[in-house]
Amino acid sequence: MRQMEEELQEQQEDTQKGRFLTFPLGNESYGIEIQYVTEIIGIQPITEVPELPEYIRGIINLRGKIIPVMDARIRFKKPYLEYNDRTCVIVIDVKEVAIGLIVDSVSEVLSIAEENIVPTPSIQQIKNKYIKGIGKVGNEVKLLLDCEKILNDQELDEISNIE
Amino acid sequence: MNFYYNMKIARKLLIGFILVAIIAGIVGVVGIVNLKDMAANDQILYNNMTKPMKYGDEISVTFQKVRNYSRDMIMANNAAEVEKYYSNIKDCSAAIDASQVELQKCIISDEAQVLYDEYVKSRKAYVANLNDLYNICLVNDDVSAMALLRGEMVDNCNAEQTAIDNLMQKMVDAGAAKSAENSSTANTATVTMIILAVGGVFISIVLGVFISRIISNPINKLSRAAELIADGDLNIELDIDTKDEIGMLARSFRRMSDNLNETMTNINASSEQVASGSKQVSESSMALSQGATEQASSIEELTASIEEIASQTKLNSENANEANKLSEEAKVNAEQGNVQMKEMLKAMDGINESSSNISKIIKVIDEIASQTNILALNAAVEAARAGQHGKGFAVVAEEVRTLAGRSANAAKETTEMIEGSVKKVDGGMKIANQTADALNKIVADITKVSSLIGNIAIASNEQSTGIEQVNQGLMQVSTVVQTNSATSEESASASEELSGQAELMKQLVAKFKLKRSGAKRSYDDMDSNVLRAVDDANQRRKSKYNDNSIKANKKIELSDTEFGKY
Amino acid sequence: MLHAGYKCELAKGVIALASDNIGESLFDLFIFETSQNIEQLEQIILDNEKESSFASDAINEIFRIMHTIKGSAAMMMFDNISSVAHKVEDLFYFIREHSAEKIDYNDVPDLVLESLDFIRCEMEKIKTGITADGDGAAIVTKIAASLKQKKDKYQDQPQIMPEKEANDVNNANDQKLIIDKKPKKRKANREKITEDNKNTYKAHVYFEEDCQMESLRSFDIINKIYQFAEVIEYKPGDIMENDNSASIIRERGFEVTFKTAQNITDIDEFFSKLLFLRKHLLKEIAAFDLHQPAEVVTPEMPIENKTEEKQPVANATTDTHTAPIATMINVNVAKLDKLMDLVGEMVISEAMVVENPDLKGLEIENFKKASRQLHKITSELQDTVMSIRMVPLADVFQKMHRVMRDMCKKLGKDVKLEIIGEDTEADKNIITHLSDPLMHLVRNCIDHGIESEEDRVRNNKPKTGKVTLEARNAGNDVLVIVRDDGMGLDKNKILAKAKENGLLNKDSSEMSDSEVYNLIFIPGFSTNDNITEFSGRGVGMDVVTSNIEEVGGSVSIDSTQGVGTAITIKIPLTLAIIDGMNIQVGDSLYTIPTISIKESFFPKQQDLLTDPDGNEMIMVRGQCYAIVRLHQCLNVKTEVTDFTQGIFIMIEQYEKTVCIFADELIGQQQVVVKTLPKYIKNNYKINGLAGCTLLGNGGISLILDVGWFTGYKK
Repeated sequence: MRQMEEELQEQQEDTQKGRFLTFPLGNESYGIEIQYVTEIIGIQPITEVPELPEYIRGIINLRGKIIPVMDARIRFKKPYLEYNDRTCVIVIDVKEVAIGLIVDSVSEVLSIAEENIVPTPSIQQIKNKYIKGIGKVGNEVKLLLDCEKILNDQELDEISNIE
Repeated sequence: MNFYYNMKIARKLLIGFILVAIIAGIVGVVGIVNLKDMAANDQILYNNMTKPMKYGDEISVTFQKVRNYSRDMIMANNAAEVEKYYSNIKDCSAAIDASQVELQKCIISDEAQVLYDEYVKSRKAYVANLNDLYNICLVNDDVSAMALLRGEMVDNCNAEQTAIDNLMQKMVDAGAAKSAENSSTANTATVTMIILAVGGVFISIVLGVFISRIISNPINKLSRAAELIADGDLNIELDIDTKDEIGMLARSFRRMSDNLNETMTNINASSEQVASGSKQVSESSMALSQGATEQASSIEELTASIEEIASQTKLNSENANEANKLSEEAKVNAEQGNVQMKEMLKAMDGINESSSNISKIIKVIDEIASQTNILALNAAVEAARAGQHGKGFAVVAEEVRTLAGRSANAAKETTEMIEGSVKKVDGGMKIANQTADALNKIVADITKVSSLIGNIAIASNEQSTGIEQVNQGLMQVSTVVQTNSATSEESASASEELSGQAELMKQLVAKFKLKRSGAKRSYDDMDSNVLRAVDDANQRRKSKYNDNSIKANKKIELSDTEFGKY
Repeated sequence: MLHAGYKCELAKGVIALASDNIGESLFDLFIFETSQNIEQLEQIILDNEKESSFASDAINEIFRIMHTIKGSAAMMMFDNISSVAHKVEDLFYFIREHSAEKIDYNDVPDLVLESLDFIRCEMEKIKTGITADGDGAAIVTKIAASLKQKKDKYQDQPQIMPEKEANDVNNANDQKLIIDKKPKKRKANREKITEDNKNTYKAHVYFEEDCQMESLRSFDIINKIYQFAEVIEYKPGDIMENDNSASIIRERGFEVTFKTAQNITDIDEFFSKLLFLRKHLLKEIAAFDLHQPAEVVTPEMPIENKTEEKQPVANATTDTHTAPIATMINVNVAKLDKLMDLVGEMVISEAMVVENPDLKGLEIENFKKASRQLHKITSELQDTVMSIRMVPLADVFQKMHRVMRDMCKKLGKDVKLEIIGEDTEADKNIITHLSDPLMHLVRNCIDHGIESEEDRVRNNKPKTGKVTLEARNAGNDVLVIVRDDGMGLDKNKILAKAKENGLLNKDSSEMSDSEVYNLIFIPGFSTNDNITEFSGRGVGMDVVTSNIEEVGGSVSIDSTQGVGTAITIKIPLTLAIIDGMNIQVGDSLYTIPTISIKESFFPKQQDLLTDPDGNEMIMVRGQCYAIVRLHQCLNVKTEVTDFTQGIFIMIEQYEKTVCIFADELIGQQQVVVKTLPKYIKNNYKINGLAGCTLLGNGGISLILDVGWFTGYKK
């Protein structure tokens, strides 16, 4: 029984692998693994919460579920841009922790084959700690985000800020 | 006697009449006194003579009755009868006593009194006998009674009777005497009355003649003087100087005649003056009349030239009006152009608005496209998660996404186009706005021009009416000049007539016979006064004439030079 | 018999398999039942230990439970558990087979408890997903040795009569079915022996919910049964006399036991024809001697069993439970939590629908009527769900027996545990949080509170110490009091210790008793000089406070030296829904739990004070309170910064009071408490916020942490 389930799970993960949701941010284009993406919604009224870093804009009510929202621009040290009706929130779910990623807009769902993904240059390891790899699609390059890191190592982030 | 003459006429008349009244009163009083005397004598005659005769008669009658009763009493046998007759006797005695008392009252003379006393004595004796008789009768002693009766009683009875008769006789005699006395008194009175009446009549006649003569004489004198004055003779003398009313009248009369005299003298003098003055007036009037005629002709010339000016002014104002009308039309046209310009602007606005509406709709379309995009992405995510099974769906999602992208692109293009057209419309609007501004300026200028021309028209209209008024004024001047000339001719003839009249007056005054001496001084005064007045009048007339001529000249000059004013 | 038990478990497994979540259900079911069985077993052992002997029915029960555990563990392939259980089963098999009186029981409870601990430990491992790899061999050998010894001993004892044994088994059976009718049952059993041709049946009849006159109908049934059978007894027995019997029957059904020569199908048919019967259970008592009683059920039965609906009256078949009448079902707490969440969301959605701005200004009578109805139903649903989540404190309290026993054994003290008000209920989640603190407190009581026996005798106290656990409702809170009659707290000792550890920040003479006592809740504080197994490390009391505060409760302490100590825990009945006051600061909305609001007021200028340090204060009725500017605290932009423009809300917790300055009051409403998102909770410590809630308009309001504002948590 359990085995069967696991198999099913594996199969699912297999099919989800290599598929990315891409979105532009400034000049670059980023990609998120589809398995983390729950949904994409328009921008919503945000309730501010005190004592949070600047890039956590606050919390939103997503159909009864309260999730925090993170401004991807600020997170990636890009200038803040006023939200408009094109602004989207990509709801991602990493190990049961849900968070919304505020992005300028969303491009498309892409398949990037394993062989087209190259690791980040090791020289700038620290700077690219959120980037899992770089995907090539035609002539374009997509920066593939490491969702777990985005969500979990803000302490590291803080340390690097101090440095 | 002077005192009386100086008395007023009324008082004089009153004194005369009072004297006549006194005389009549004296005559009346004497007559009344005599009449009263006679009436008193008659009264005495009746009371003392006539009345006692009646009482004496009654006493004698009743006495006879008593005699009878005494006889009956003797004859009566019983006491009752006696008693009865005795009472009758008693009654008769009482009646006699009453008459006796009355009689006594009428006795005035001593003789009568003696006679009366005799009677009373006899009476008493008889009454005593009667009583005796009565007593005898009561005892029925006829004999004694008869005796008595035939004795003593007869004597007493006779005595009594005689006393009464005597008394009566005496009374008649006294009455006759009295009546004779009365007749003589009446005769005396009549004579006195006649004498007095004759004397009164005489005195009254004398008084009347005297008084009437005193009044009538002076009045006659006055009436004669008045007749003289009426005939024009003012030279009269009056010698009345009494102080009564007539004297006063005479004095006033004198003063009147003096005054008339004076006035007439003055009139005489001034009439001469009038005659000379009026001649002068007549001459100057003639001169005036000639000047006025000249004036009238020059005014006629003036009027003609002014008429010409008026017609030219009218033409001027008509032209101005025409110009005004034309500028007004131009203004209306310009305004219409402006309105149409505005409408065009509005239409452009509408275009703008609808373009913005369209862009709104496009925005909505764009929004829908972006939402569709998100949905398609969500679908793609789901499809990716579904793995193998979602592959078909992923294709659909991709398709939808492409569609959304296309519609977004189309929306973007449309937006651009609309933005272009909006921009163009904006340019057009700018130009239209400028045109509208220029038109507005034109309208404003034309309005200004039109109002200026209007002002000119109004001014020339006013000018023409002013010239009309000048014309009218000249007409009036011309009529006045004509009237003046007529009037001066008239006054010339009137002054001629006046000098004629003055001559006539002189003749009339000459009719009066005037007294020269008495009023000399007052004439001098008057003369100087009058002369001065006449001189004044003359001088004034002359100066006036001069003034007038100068003034007229001046006026003409003025109107010549100042013509342009009108 | 073993076979039957196994079959039973198997059947359950199959039923569970049939339901939707296959693997999960089976697994959960195993864990749930096993832990329940362990607890039950523990209780029985503890009960019997006191009497130093085992009642025969207790032995049967233990045997059966062990058997069940063994069976299910084997099925789930947890062999270590299964082998331990098997050994214990063996032990009790021996005890049951032989005369109970003749066996030395002294080591039995210890052995059983030890093995139970092992199993429990393994269960914990399984629960957390770690492989249950504990080695049960040591225990197995221990038990085997004990069994051998007993067997050897028994060889010397004479044999007991088989009849008695049979009787005991029968008793055990009855015990399971009708607990409180022991004497009669025995009599029934005796009759069974004499009249072999007749069978004894027990029928459990449920009437339809709204049939009315249940007692009369029950009486009618009895009359009818008399026509073909001999009625032995029925329950409730006083149907015609007692007015309440109708409601009892309605709730628990009507039971009748009778004896007849007819076979079971005929009887079943007879019951099927009765009017207004919802269902009936028919059991033949005498026909199956030692085996599980056969269940003859109407067709609805299995369905009800399977679907695990929340219908509270559903016939529960947790057959091993000691509950009087089995009308309970077991539901996964996670599901209940989910249900609670759903209800909360429904309440919010309801508000969103009813207060929808699109409806503003519309005349919608029917809609309003319907929405009122909806509101009624949702609030009822909310109450019901809350009540479903309510669990008696009994379970937690019962656990303390074991703690007590172990402690007493180790410390050589004689302490009695008294429990009052164990049926007091509270939210399941809260009770979960109560378990650890309570254990710490009881340990402390015994370790520090209760004196040694000699001391007690010296102080004229009874030799046996006493610890009382008391629970009772107080408004929206539940009070749990742990009281001992020990020596009480020594103030001076506490103060000295505090000074020594540098925990005093105040002059000791100024401290009130309760302040002094509260010192023991400070982390790292322990008066015990020697670190023992159970206490002295200064961790215990800290755990107590942190655990209790996590669920919004509080702990207070009261003590009299020489007489005893009482520690009072105050916990809310439920966590999920609170009465809140919504306030506004700038554009943001905040919610303050109404329970901590003392008053709200507009300040007067002359009451406001500022001390030289710039701290703002306000005088209210002669008392001076600190002012907390919410906009400064929470870093919110607002135009209302002048005190006279806004409003003050006086909040109080733990006798500390501050005045909060906000822009304005919005209104009071019941709010569903939601925790802050995991991400924020995991990564940041947000001071001053206790959670958040959804408002009717879909907006979010942050719930203020009153404790933080009053400075308690600083």
